[in-house]
Amino acid sequence: MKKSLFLGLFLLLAAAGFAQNIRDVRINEILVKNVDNYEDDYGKRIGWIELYNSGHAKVNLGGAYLTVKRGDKTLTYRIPKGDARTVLGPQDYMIFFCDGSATKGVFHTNFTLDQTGYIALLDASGKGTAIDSVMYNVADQEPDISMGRIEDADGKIVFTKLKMTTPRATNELEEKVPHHELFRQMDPSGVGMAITAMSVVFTALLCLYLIFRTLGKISVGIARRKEIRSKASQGAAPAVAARKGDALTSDEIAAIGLALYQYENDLHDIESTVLTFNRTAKAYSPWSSKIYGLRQLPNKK
Amino acid sequence: MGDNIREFIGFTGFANVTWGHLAMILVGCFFIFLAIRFKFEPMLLVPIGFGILVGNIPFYPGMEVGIYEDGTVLNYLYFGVVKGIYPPLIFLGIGALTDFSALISNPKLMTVGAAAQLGIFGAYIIALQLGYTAAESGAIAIIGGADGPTAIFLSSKLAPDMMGAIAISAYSYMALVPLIQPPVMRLLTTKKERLIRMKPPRPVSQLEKILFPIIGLLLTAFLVPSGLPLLGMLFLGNLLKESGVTRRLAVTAGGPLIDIVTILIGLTVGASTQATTFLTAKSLGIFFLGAISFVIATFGGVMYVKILNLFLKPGNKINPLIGNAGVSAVPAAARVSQDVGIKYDRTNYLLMHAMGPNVAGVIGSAVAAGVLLGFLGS
Repeated sequence: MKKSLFLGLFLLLAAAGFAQNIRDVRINEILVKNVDNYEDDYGKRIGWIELYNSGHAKVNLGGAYLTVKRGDKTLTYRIPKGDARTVLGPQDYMIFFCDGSATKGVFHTNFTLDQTGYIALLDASGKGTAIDSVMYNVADQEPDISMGRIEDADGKIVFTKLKMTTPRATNELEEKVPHHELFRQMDPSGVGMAITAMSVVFTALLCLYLIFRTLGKISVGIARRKEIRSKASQGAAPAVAARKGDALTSDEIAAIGLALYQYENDLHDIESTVLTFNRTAKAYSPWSSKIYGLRQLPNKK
Repeated sequence: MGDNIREFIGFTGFANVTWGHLAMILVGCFFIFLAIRFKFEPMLLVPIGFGILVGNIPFYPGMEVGIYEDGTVLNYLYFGVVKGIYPPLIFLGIGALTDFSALISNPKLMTVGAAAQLGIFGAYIIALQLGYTAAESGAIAIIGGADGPTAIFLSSKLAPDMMGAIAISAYSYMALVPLIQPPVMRLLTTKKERLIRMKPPRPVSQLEKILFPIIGLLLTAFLVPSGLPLLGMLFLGNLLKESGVTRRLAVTAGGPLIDIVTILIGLTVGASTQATTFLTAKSLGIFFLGAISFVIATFGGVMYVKILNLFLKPGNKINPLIGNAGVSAVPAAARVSQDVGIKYDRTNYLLMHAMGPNVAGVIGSAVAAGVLLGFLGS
């Protein structure tokens, strides 16, 4: 019972882990009419889909589906399992060429992009909510003008026509100012950072202080109650009132500390020199006798 | 034959040596001298000093021996520094070696550990004004936490090019804590304050010791998840020690493991200081800011205790000489409190009290590193 419970829990966590990983994948860019743009591995120019892993872990896309029409097997492509190239690295890109040919390899889909104006990425079940999907107007597509996800002026992510195609690269063409430089621009003197960071450090340690002050009080209370109970159980034993001078002085604590240190560190299990009164004697054995190991000189008579 | 000999000579260190290499070799020898003669952090300065010698042996580029050349042995060992693997392993060992009892018995000392982190953020402000980028300033500022592994961890993320100089600076000033801190402590305290006797710490139950790493991790890591590698390993090491059922693991983490990682981190950080990358004006600035940050950290800790004393009843007051121990140079900073305190009262032992802020400083600097990484990391 316990084993099956653990197994079930493990499978659930594993499934959740898989789902969480593949859900980081996005349809990042598409090019429907490829006239003079990115070539496939056969040197042909055909429409393509770019997938992007926005997560920080590798994702194996093997078994997942790309479709331009849900429920239509002829317009749905299952990415083959067992090919190491379908593993998409963190923050990495992968291109699928859409030439409607299922015989040209792993990265060629059995549909084209000018059929429905819809693309979806589905998980290995091929059912349920799409991991990601985009819609576009086929008639509006211009040669070598791709569509992709990009941040608009309001900071919202939109799927729109891009100024230039960016296969296997980010769609953001403007160089981003590093995060720390933005922070510096906001707080050039560093005082804001100092105050905020010190507040965080203080909050963390202050919370620890409050928790352990409370715990300490509880612990001391419990210890006192135990002491009273043990005294009560001893019954006739005379109660000794704690006097003010009972607390150990610093000298006493230091002496106890030194004694404990010496006890812990300066004792030897085996002394380096052993004094013994036992008589030492070597048992004779011809096997270890030197005389038998030496060549005998010829006896001159 | 003559060509072969000329080629061989061209590959030797003598043919490729520069004044920079010789200067760095002298620095390495000086570190080894400090460690052996004066016993300044010998466990760190001997491998670092020797690493400086290793890293500054001149060689013909392309011989695949240098630490910055892909695929070399030293490059593989350096991977643990670049990717921030060694510092959390050292924190695991520190956790397994640290007794938090002094802190648990007098938890208000935790806030002293927070106050001493002022050194980090003071140095951050100055570094910004000196023209360093925000990321570089954050990496340099962490020297003020007086924690070598944390400095390496953060600089590997924020300013990898400066990591060698930052690590060397952090470890050097940690070794020099007995020289840097006492004048600041004496300057900020009166004789009466230095004689304050603190209450002996109460005994701490096993349950409290077990709860400390668990609550400590949950609280600090929830607040600053970017500090998780350091905080997680620190508290795991401590739980191994305090749980009482994983003695072998605690002994390994606090003994052979930390020793192995210390050798590797010391050697590779030392070797990363090749003259060509290390001898720059920026490195000099790092050393200057490192010294300033230690002074500010000591100032922050001591002044905080003095302010705190204004609100504490007589008998509960804290000796401000333990304020310096809020930096996380364990146990060097606590020993400084003891040494300075005992000069004014031979029977006033501050070591056990100073260990409280000292270990709080370890937590504080890891949290501060997490905050800097959260704000300034990509």
